[in-house]
Amino acid sequence: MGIIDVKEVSFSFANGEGPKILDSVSFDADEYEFVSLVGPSGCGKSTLLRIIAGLIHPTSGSVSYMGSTISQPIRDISFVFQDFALLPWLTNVDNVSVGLSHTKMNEKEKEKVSIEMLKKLDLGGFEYAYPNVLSGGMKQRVGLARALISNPKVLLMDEPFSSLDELTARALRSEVIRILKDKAQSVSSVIMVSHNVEEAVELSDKIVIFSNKPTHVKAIKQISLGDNRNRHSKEFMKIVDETYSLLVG
Amino acid sequence: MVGIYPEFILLVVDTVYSWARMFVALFISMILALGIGIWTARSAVAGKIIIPVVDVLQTLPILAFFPFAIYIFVFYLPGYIGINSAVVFLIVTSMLWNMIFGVNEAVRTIPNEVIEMSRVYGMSLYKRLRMIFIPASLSKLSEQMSLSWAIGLFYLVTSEIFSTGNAKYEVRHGIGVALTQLGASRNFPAYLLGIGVFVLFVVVTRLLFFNKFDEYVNKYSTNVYPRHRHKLGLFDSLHMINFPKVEAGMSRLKGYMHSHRKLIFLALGILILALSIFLLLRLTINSQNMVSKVFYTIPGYEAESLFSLLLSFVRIWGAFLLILAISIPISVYVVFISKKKNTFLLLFQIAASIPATILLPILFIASGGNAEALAFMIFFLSGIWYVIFSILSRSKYLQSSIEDLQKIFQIRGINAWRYIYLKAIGPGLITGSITAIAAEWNASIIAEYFSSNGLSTSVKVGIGRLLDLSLSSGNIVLMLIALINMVIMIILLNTFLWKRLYSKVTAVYS
Repeated sequence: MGIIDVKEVSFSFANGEGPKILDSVSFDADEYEFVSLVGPSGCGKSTLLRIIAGLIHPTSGSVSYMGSTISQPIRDISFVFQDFALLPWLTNVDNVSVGLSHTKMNEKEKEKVSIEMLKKLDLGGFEYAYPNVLSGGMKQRVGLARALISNPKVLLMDEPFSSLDELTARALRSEVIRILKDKAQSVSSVIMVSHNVEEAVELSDKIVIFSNKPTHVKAIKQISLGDNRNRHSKEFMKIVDETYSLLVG
Repeated sequence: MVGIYPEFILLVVDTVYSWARMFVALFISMILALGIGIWTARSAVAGKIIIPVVDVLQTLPILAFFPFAIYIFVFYLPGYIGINSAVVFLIVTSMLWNMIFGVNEAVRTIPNEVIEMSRVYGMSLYKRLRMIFIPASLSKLSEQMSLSWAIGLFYLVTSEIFSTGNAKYEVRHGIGVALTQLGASRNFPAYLLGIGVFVLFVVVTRLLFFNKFDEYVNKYSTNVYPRHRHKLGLFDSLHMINFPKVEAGMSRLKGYMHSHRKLIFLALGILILALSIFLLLRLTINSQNMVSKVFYTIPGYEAESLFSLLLSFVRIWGAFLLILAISIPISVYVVFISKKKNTFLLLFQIAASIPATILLPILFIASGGNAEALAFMIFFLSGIWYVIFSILSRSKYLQSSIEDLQKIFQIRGINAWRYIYLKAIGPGLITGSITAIAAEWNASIIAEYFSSNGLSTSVKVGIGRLLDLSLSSGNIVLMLIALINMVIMIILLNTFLWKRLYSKVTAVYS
């Protein structure tokens, strides 16, 4: 049993009356495991991630965290949004503090911790600026800071790099790897939705490959490349090719 | 029940009269909007001069000019024609501005290749208008017409009601007149029936005219330039005023005000001064004695106007504070908490389709004849929908992820108000407040003073009362001074309060 267990999850819109989006999806995410969900666009990966987050309920099946069923968002699971979901009317430090809403910390403490987190993510100097002055990559780092500040055990990421240009995305991916390896931080499992196979191979320990209409798990591929992955190495390319074959096959 | 049928027929006839005024005004507005909109879009100079003026005009409570308009129109066109021209003129001034902006925007966004094509083939101005500019404008024009109609209804009813009780200036037939008379004679079944007829006409006009027109022009223009279209619903935009218009105006003005602030104030100042001198001379030309008399009384008139303005200001802002206290929680509930947003929207839109001034007889009874309470209620009802609809219409632009964000990070209670609700509604609240306060000033000519068939109300001091009384006593100098004071105050408030607030709140959105 993993930290997150997705068990035969099916989902249809319109209270189960609409067309089936997910069909009996099962997989798990173990401790210290980075899992990517890869599949054709529009296949329901983001819906699945929202089910895992407790934002929507599956029509049948269940998702559990450390053995307890998830029926609503819980503190140990945090989320990074594709469109950053920063509140434009809050300063960056306040946007990060939003991640501490459920704590009993006073405002001063929240501010202090949020500033530290922003600094950790190389956003020192932008604490009291508004998101509109940040580049896409910086905005996503604020989103990441907000997700990490509450010390979650599980981090869910919905195509976190897809709104960024390739260079920025590459830099931010390395940053994510650096942060997740940091022993001081709390995250032990990551589940990321992606449509980019190279990205999934670079980051993941396990890739869950989906097929379309309705979405079901086509294959689960373990990646055993170790740390410091080189995108140009033969092994890396081989795994990418294999994953592509599974995806289109 | 026997008595209701003739009443029904009469009410329908009255509404047809009112609608005739509305359609004449709409037609005139369409022609003017196409002319001015195309001209300002194609001529850089015209655009630079006219657009900022239109921006200022659209935030003024032009209905307060109604007594003045009546005076001028009846002076030149006596009797029935004069008063109806004044009503139509007033409705045009309520409909026109956003339609000009709609056409202007549509023409400015015509692809350059199309303009170049017209040059290559040596198209005449007439051909360019008929084949390019007008067809390209129709879609935006239709969208704006629908909004203009809703604003026009308020002006129509209020100016009709205003005219009742004064034989010299009465429009005689119209739903506003009919309802006021029925209310004053306490014939409440017929009065309620009249409100029903009014709402029915609103719905039927939308279904049979605006929706059809919109469908027609879009079938016609989407083939030319595909664009994202917002389909008009039954009550869509009903009485919603054009908040996007105000917002667009605000952002445009931000720029203009920085670069042309002095020029705009200078132009406005000269205009007001020239108009005042012209009228004063006109009035005094026949009587040598009048000259000294008029100039002697001006300081007194100014003092009276300022005092009236101050008291009206207190009433209007008092009602506005209550509007805020009620509309903010309601809007936040509908936008962020309720699951039945569309049901609320429909209910609000039906309620808002009834102009507040039409409720005068009911409010008269509800206030127990207390003029201050009655004025307060009319001000409140005239303004509240603008704030609510402005916030609701702006909420379309909020990110859909806010709800997810709230759940994931468990942002509840006071934190939700602090981090999300109050800040998210900011821009909508400001544009709504500007239009709400303008609507309150508009309503002042009815709210503060009214007298007809036993239904009469009068506050002791107020700008609306001053405008009404100066008309009935023929004191045009006093009326003009009162108007100038009011306009200056509103321009100052718009510039130094609302625009600054709006810039501050929206600065973070770019």
